[in-house]
Amino acid sequence: MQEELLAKKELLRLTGISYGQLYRWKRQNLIPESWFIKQSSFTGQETFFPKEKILQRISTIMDLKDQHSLEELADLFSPESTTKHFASSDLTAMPELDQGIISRFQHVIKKESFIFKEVLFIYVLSKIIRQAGVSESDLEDMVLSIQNWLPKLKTISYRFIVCQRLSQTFSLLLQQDAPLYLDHKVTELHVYDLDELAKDLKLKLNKVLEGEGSHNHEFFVEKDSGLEKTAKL
Amino acid sequence: MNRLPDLSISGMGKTGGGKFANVEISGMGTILGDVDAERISISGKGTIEGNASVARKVEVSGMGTIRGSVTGGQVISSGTASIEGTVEAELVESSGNLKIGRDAKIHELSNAGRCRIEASLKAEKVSSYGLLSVGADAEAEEFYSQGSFSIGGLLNANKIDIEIHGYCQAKEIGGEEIWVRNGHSFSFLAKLISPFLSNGKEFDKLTADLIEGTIVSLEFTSAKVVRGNKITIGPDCVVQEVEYTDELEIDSRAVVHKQTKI
Repeated sequence: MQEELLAKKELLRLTGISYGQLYRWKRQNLIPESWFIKQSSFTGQETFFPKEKILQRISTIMDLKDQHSLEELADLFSPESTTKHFASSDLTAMPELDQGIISRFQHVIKKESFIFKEVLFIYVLSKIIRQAGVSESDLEDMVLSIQNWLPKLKTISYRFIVCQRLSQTFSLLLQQDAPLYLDHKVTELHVYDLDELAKDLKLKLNKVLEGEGSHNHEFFVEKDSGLEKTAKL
Repeated sequence: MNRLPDLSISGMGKTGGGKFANVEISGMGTILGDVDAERISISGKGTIEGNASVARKVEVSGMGTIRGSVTGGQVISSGTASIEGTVEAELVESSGNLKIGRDAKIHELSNAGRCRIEASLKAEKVSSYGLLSVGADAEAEEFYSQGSFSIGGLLNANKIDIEIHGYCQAKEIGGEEIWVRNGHSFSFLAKLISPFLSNGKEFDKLTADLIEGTIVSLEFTSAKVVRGNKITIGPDCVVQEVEYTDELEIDSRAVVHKQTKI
């Protein structure tokens, strides 16, 4: 289904915002770059927006901008934000994520919603299962290791490496640029660059979250309450 | 507490990278790896083959090349500096020739020489009195130019204040307040800059496809479309189409082909 587009001047007329505001919000990453769609028209090029998404986003910004700084809002709209939670129902809707792994995480981490880092590892393990197939017990070990690692990770600039020595497999988490020298009997089975995977995942999560209007709204309301907590601290 | 060692190359030399307090290259020197230092100073011909991370500043007064990226406090160039990777810094000051090969994220950029950024620029404040060129988009809260500039993408700033000297060009300009004035160039600057102009570029003019702002005031500007709430089209402007919501003022020496109140 093709989304309905809205021309920039129509947007300004409908919402009453100024050019200055629109450019400011673009600079502050409150409106994603990908929503600015250039199309040629009789006056040269004109900018259009996905209608439903942009109207929803502008009304959210207008509602929240008096209580929160633009930085806080930008944080809110970006998927890596630590204040943002993804409901497991949103995740099960994504074909890239393995159902089994999601429920394993739910079980181990004992949460119904996940932050970006956690979703990233669900994504990595889903990839491993699909590309290679891993035994139940190995998978269990990986999930437990990840559970231990997660609180210690401040960034995601890591490589996730699965190795094999004789018939045993084990996983490592290594800083992005750190060299790795292994025992000669060890072979690297898989190497995953978390930074790269995070970029893929971000795009996919954005699609899911922007997918349905009603869902979207729920998501913002939930975020709103989360933000108030941080703002009061 | 261990104090980090200094590194100094004053003849001709090559050395590996590492962590230092002060790094000084005053002859012809090459550092083969990444450098992490309090301060790096290149006054001869110096090359760093890796990334440079500085707590205080990198100073180039000779000819400096950094093949990787630079992160840290200040980058001050009064010679010829070329950084092939990205730059993330508090302050970048160029009074010589500075080239940045990839994206730059700088709190304050101050240019009084030639500064070329091949990819995008994100800054709080940009002030340029020389020639500034950005390959992709340039974003800032405040953008002041009293020289020439060329921006391949969108110039997006809260306040844009341009005094035209020589050739000024951006694909698109957007912001809250946009002020453009003619600066009446001296002829020597014209001679200095005109070799860099390709055919059809006009001297002492600002050219842009699109200019949009809440308040837009222009002089000596050619644009296809100008949109805004309150617009003033001053002398020597040629604009194909103006769209405004509140006010429009057009100087008698300006040409506006079509105007629409929305």
